[in-house]
Amino acid sequence: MALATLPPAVEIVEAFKSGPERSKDSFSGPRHNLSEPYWAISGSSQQSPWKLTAFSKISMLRNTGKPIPGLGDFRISDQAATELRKLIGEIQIESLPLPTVAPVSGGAIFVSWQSGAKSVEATAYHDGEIVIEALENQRLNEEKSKGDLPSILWWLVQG
Amino acid sequence: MGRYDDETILPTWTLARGIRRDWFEADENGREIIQSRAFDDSSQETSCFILEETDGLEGFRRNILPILERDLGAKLRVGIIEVGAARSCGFWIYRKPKEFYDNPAHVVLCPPQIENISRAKFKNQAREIAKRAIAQPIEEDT
Repeated sequence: MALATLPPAVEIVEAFKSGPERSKDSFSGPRHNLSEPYWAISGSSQQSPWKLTAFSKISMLRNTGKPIPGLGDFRISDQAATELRKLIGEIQIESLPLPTVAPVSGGAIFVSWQSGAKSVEATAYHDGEIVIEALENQRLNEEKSKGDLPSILWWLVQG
Repeated sequence: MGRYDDETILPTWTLARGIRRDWFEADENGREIIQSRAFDDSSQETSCFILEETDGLEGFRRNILPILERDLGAKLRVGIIEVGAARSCGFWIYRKPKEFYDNPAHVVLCPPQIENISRAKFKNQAREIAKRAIAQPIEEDT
């Protein structure tokens, strides 16, 4: 395997600890599979601290999420985690603010980058659907498609 | 029974939602703002509690919040919003006691249709309600 395709260290540790993927209804522990495709697209994250932070937080939230009656179900789905990792792995911008990563009720996960009054948010829902939004002063500026993410991240960092 | 708007939940009543620490972000002045993700939900049903049926905010803090915090394993803040304001953000509200230990004060916010609306639209509604929700001060441990 070429070095460029190796996953970051946090991903290796997580994958070996968790073992084979469990059934969909079993949420008693970590749920990862060595064959998940995000490995192949996360190589450049070795040069991007923001990517390491994002991947590490996704792993942590996936390993700790559980259903909380009266609050929400924080078991992040396979599809949500995989789609968000793919999205992050495909971003070619090396220098971005450290992202906020948080669970969303119903098996979803959220990532945002903030710079001054601007922010870019991506939410991956339990079925893998992703919603991307650009905000300014906490107000929705534009809803974007996945393909627009590089351009709105440039908008974010260009002041 | 499917989703509906329960008119016995009066517009002057108040809803409380537990708010995780990672559902806040600071604005440029350092003020903590509740984010849309606090009210977003993949299945488009967001849990809240009717304060009029939990012995008010103090009753919520005393009887319900500790259960949520115990199950989560972390402290929560409390966000409150009037029922009428939640409806004006585009939500229906109905009771789901079975989803919280058969407690009839447990309700969900949902879109005003039987079919789900788009995720982006629901998230916009969540953003509106998050702006109008008031984060309660942290209660010091005694």
